[in-house]
Amino acid sequence: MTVPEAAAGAAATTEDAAPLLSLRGINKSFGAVHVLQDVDFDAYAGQVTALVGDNGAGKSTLIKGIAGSQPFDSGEYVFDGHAVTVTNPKHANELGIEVVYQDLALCDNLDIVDNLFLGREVTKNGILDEATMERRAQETLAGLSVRTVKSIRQVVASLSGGQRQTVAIARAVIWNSKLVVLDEPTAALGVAQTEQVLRLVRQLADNGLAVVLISHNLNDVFQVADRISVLYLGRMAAQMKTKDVKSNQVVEVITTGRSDAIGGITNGNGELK
Amino acid sequence: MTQLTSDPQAAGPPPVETTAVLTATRPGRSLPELAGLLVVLVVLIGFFAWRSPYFFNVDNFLNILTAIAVTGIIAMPGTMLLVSAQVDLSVGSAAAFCGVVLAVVAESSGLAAGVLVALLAGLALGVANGFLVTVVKVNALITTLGTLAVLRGFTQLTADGQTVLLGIGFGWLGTARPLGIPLPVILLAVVVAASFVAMRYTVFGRSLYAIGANAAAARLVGIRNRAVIFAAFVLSGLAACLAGLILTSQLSAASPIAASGLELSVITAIVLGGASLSGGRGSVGGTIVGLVIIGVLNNGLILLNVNTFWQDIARGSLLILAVSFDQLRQRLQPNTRG
Repeated sequence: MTVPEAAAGAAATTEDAAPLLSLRGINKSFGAVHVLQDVDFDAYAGQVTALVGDNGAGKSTLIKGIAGSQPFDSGEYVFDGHAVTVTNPKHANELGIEVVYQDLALCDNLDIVDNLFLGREVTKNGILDEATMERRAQETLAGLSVRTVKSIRQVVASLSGGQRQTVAIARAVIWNSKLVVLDEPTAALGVAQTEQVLRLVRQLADNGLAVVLISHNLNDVFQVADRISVLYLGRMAAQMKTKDVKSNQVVEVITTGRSDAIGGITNGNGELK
Repeated sequence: MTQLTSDPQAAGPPPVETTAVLTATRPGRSLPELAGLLVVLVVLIGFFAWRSPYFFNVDNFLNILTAIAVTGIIAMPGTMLLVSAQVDLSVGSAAAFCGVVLAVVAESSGLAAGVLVALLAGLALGVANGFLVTVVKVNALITTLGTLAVLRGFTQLTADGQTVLLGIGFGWLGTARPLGIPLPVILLAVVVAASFVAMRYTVFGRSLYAIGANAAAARLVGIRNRAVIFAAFVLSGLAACLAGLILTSQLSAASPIAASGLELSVITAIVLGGASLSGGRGSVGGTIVGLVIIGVLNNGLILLNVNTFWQDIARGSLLILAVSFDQLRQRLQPNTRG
């Protein structure tokens, strides 16, 4: 953290801030398969950190560990300055960590408000407090500058793919979360809807959240990410700032695990490990 | 853009200017789905009122409600189960079993003990179904198909194949009329009201809808799917037991073949009311309409002296018609996904 950055640019203000999430030496095995080996990973408040890597690199395993649904075997998990042990999703939620899964986990037969609060409904004397939930839903969607849905009582089945993604993301931030992990949020979307969702992703970071974006699409990554972390066969091949690298270099790291221009396995400051 | 005006029925405060587009208008939740059924009901009532002088009066309506009380009480947790994509086929056998248990125990140890043991039996049956479905993870259809047969056998064994007469005064449950309203109808009303609140205004009901639509998503957001489904099965066992007690009281006897096929009447009413066998759809209101349509149909056909065998034909045809119509409606609705 003491590396002087002369031409730091826009990211300079958050340069010296400690990462909100800091993983060190993470290991995870499924039987004999060592899926994550000694992985370090950082995510910063107010920044989008892209997590990229080929299929089977361990991206999903890493986020499931962060979310607590498949806890890590060993390693250091520091969140918001405290060493924590996250063993189940509820625990992660309590810390302020939310995951938006690729398949969205929305219920088509329920409306937007119902979905936003599903599993964590606000109740008064055992009865659903619809008024409070509607108000908070409106506030949250307004805070995300969402203007494309007609009514928050629309059934989710009637929404477009982009709108569904928006609802899923809104659900992640409605509880004043600090870290949001997005698993391939644009995978099934058209061009215009992808733009819409990427704007929303940027907005989350600009609102001060730490965003971890998993994506296969480097265009998306270069458009919104401040940092890029590359997993290669279960190891963290590189953690770098988007402005320091070019797309072809990232592709090289994704496919080979190293790049001469970047220098192989590095930490977040470009130093060799 | 009528959506721009905020809905007066929305419970929240009026949206602030920047969120004016985010109204809380409920786009007519379940009403359009029920509209067709209500038309059918009105037509049926009109037809029978026209053809029979005995149909359109309060006493006959109370008859209809008494006739659907037993089915209706079971159909309430039945709706909960179907909404969460589960089903309980053992309800008819469970009702008969509880009736026989009541009669046998009451004979030896008194009425209070009989009612208590019968209710405990109902509870145990619900727990058993719930355990098999949620812990052992046998498909609900297969589990309850099995318990349907097992219970019927136990009922026959317990009653020794004979109808057990209930000597002492238990008739009140099935025949008392406080304030002129038959007690079974009052019990039905209580069960319906409780179920309506549970389905519409509690986390339990919301969870049932979520599980039925997307069980994996429900699990991901932290709903304890298995606990919710277990609870619905327990309620189903208890409701079947209550229905069995009412039946036994009405006849002053417990027949081991009572309530055969009741599970099919229950499912018919629920599906007629808009529920889907694949889960996620259905409501207490819809099930009530389904029940009343079947009740009116049976009652009217009897009053018109139609051979009772036609009732089955009419009920079955109505079910197929209603569901076919619903399929067409869904296909014609442009903005609803598969």
